[in-house]
Amino acid sequence: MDMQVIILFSIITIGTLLITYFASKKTKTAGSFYTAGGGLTARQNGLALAGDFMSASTFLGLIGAFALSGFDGFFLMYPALLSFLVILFLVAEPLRNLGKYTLGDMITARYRFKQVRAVTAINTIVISIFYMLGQLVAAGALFKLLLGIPFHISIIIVGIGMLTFVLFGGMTATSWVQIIKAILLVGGTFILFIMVMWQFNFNFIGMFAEMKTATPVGADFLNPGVKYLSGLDAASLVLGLLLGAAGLPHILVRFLTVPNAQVARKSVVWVMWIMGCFHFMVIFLGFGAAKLVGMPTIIEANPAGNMAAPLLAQLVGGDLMFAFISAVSFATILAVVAGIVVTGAAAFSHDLYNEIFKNGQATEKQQMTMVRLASIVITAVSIVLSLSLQSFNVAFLASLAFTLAASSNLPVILFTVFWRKFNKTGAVFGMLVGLLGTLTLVALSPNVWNPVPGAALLTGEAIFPLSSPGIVSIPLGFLACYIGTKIGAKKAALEEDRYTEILVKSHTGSDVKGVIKH
Amino acid sequence: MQNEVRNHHSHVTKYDRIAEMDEFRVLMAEKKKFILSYTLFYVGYSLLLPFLALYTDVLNVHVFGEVTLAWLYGVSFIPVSLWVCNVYVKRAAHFDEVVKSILERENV
Repeated sequence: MDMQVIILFSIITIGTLLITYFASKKTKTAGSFYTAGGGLTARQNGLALAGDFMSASTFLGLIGAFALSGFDGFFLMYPALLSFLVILFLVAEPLRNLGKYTLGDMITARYRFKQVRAVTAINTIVISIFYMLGQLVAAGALFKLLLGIPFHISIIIVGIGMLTFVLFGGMTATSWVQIIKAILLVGGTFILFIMVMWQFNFNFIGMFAEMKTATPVGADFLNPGVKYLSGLDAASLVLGLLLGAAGLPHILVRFLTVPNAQVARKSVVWVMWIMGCFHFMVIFLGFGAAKLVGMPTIIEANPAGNMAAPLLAQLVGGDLMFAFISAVSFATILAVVAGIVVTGAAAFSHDLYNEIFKNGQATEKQQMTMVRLASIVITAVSIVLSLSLQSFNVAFLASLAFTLAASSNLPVILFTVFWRKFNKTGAVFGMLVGLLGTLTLVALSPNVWNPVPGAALLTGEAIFPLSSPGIVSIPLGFLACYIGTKIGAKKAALEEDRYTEILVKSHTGSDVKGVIKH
Repeated sequence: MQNEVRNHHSHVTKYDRIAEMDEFRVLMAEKKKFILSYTLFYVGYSLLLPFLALYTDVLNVHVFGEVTLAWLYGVSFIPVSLWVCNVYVKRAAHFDEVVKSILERENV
């Protein structure tokens, strides 16, 4: 088996290196590094979005969630699909029409102040690092389970592998790795799905009857409440996931890699169809894992259920299928982490370095050096942090990034585009309160506090009762934007307002570029 | 710098003129109504499930075999979200037409 795993991993590594080689020839300017020159097609960007969004926690986590908690798996799954509606209806087209390379570009299209850009950039970097921590900890845990490679070494291997193609190929290489990974992931899931359903004679409804007796929880497996007891906590999780994607910098940046709003729109259609098909298969793969592999075996391999899919693959498809699914998981982590690093590094190099320190006068060469340096630093920081977070729950780290994005970025994005009275003070205050407020709530939540010594970071009763802070922190972010706007209203009245300009730009699109030339 | 300022003023005029066009105002009103109503629908539809599933028994009705209403609700997110996505694409194509005619009238 080891040989098969090594061969498949090598094929994927060589494949990504080849992509990097061709992409590096096209990555001569900072613009091509940041957003692949903005020339992707709808299908390419839709696949890349799927590749960006379907992380290891989606693929391994969701199948595990359905296998271990039955119906409650839905609370982790469906908000992800619907989050693309939030993106489609509210964010994608204005973002494409206003932004250039980063989220900072979009917000400063209305408020041309350095502090707005700086806060947006720092926000992007913080959220990116949190999201990356979840991915790296997952990678470490995964390779330890799959291949027996120690946690620390796995993280360093993923970090260096990803950096290689980010440094040379920028967003072009990252996009292609994501596209190929999305195809492998959906293809691999489909093959596994057929193999599993074969065992059940493709009797989808009959499978439900079998699930009643397949697990230690009995008939409850099919009822809500195996994992979540509080509707409020589940709703908070749903809200965070639903709104979070529309504020995640590495997802938003994907809409700047396409030429116009029409293509941005069509790429959402692509990603929604891909994810819809994927989600349908995930439900039955979870059932299959619970029935065929068995809940106790899955929990024994990993209490969070992350091994459900690989174990199921081994059972129905033998060692080759196990090796294939493991290799796909490896590609998944590489692709997602690469997208995050490019986004964070672009925010540093374009927003902080070029626009703020150099007043937009940095040369291409300086920017290319800076974006590469930033990629290395962000990766190094994330690796060091993730080494100390080994015992943290992966799903919690990922959902924290979503909630941070929904509480700090999303309110500002929406108000910038849709609220005429919104001002600079509101934007800065909203982002900072959203970011710090979420982090404070998490620090007071049961994720950090547990009365049982050793069960969490600190021992004691949690002051804030919910493990997902979204239902409080997201309204807090919107409220802070409102309060900040009221505070800054007098000062803003004296400043030039660009609302009409961005209103017309965001709704009429790139064609208005013609106006600028007038 | 002076050039920039002058250019800048000319954009503002152009943007203001488009923003004041009746056609543009109608477009904004239509878009607002469309986006708001659908967004309220899919956000509401998403947030309803946790409360119905965890605080009530209304979804525990068996529909066929062991498949309950709760499972149909859960799976329904896939067709419902693809349907809403499809509605958006069709409406957006209509909005594109309006924008095109606005820009043509402004000779952009």
